[in-house]
Amino acid sequence: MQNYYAGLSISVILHMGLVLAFANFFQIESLYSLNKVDPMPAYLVFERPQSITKKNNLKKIKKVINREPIITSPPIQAADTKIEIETIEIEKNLLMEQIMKRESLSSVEEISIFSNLIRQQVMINWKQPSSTIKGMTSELTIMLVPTGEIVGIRLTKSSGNEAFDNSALDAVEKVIKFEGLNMSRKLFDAHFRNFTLVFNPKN
Amino acid sequence: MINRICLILLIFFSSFLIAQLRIEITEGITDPIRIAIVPISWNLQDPPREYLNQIISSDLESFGEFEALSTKEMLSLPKNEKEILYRDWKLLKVDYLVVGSASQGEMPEEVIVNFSIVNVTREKVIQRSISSGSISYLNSLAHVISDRIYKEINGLPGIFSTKISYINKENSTRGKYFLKVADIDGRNDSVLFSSVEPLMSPDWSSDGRSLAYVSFEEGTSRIFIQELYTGKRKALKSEKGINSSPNWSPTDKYLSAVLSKGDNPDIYLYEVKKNTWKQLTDHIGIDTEPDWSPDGRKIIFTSNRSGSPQIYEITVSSRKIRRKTFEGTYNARARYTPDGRSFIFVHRREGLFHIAVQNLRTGKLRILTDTQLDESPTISPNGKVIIYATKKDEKNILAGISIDGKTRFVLPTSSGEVSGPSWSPLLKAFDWSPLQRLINSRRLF
Repeated sequence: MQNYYAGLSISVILHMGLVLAFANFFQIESLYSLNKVDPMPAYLVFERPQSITKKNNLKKIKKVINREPIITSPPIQAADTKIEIETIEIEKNLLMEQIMKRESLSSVEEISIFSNLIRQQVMINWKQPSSTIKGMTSELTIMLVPTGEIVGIRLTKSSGNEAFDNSALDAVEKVIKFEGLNMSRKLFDAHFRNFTLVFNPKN
Repeated sequence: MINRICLILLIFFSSFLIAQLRIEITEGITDPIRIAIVPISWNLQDPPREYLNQIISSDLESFGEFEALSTKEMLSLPKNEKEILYRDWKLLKVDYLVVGSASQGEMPEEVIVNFSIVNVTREKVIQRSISSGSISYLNSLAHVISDRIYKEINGLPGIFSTKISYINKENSTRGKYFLKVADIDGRNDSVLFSSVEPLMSPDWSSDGRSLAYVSFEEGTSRIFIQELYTGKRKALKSEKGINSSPNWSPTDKYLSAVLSKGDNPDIYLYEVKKNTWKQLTDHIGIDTEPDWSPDGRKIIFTSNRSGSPQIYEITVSSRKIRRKTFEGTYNARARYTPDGRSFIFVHRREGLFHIAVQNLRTGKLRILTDTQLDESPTISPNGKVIIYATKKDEKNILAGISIDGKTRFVLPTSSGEVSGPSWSPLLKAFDWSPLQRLINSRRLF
């Protein structure tokens, strides 16, 4: 009988942990992010399950997490737009340099860098409407061709505020072509041919 | 340890749930939205000299959210959607474009404006509208069109056709007091009531049809309600002592106000239909300046019960009182923001009076103005702009500031001293227009 209770309680604890983890109780996202920068610029979810669940790959991810942040971008809050744009440009150039010297980069780092490049090019075109409230989220699915040109934009999750959704669509539409995405065809097909952009204002 | 287990589990499961790269964008740039209002083409024999597009442009630019292109900068002047060359407008980095035409309506004074709001980036017409009004009051018509554009692009109601009421005192020793109503840019003011004795603290009813205010015309303070369109006045049952600070409930069924009944001032509720007063707060200290929350459940007020003026909130049904401000020794004249999440008030810091905003839940306080002696703030019905009374060159004037603190302006009001501004709720255009039946605006799709 005792054994029965022990097994049950372990099972309950484990299931609780699982449920809480899904509810983000442990705030694992911040652990999981590659850039320890506030506000968090980009986070990644990997496409290939097998490449992550393998033990040696897990170690690799942890190593990346423990490393110094790849890009140290100051939080951009300045009211002066010119400075904002300049900062973003500087960041972009830094990223481009990293791509040039990329022989030493792992694929995780590469994805992170290219994601940030995309993020910046959208950011620079995004004008939030003044009805924006913290917590609104719009999700867009973007389709690219290997040259970086956008061939499709689809609103997959609406924020409920039409003006906000439109501002997100406009921001991507204005990019026309993402620059600097010179990556291997394999990486492109795996992650960047279709990806999701989440517009989620933090202030 | 649990964290680690969960991390592994989460990675394992999330790989099934989401199989796509997600890039999160948490901020954009704070550039204003660039908009071009192409001059409206007039199909009239005698086109007016006023330029609708200029009024609309300056409306939209008022609070820093939009940047309007001047007519000189435009490369072409399309008269309708078909004539738009998108490449030109993209070159000018224009986000939105408004094209339209005006024609004679059925009635002799009536003009009809057909206009389209166009998203240049996506080369798409996002709204077609028709608005009509009197040719003698093109300003009102322009404000209505501005409201439509603002709402469509920004997702918030536009406030350009709302009104401000305030008290204006003549600049002489026995100067008269005027109760005035004006556009929010300070223009088109009209007098609703005048008296040689002081007038104070006007407040709009929630339906926008009446004003409550304090008048000393009978020698002592008394609260009056005045209907705007009929001019009909009604005096509330007055009590001995102070009668001040009237404020309408969101349903217009009650007024909250301050009565002293010869003793110390407390908050009372007045039921409009029954003409009766009911006491709400009872304290030895002074309770004053009540304001109803947008949901009608609470009232925020100023009280010196702790020794210095501070902001308190009372739940009307349970009479439970909570202190809201703890920073500084002077916090007064609180007004809820339209979302009911924050309040604006007068805050003293280092001997100067500023307008500040505080979040009700987190208690976070933010000072908005950097002038001195700022008083009686009032907030726009969309919660984006505050107008307040302040001193400039020894003169009482009205000034405004956007809630993010980025845009400031001063209202060009008539001569004399101005005080006690109160912002109207969102008005239906035909409610207010002098030629009421003429102004009309509707969306075509």
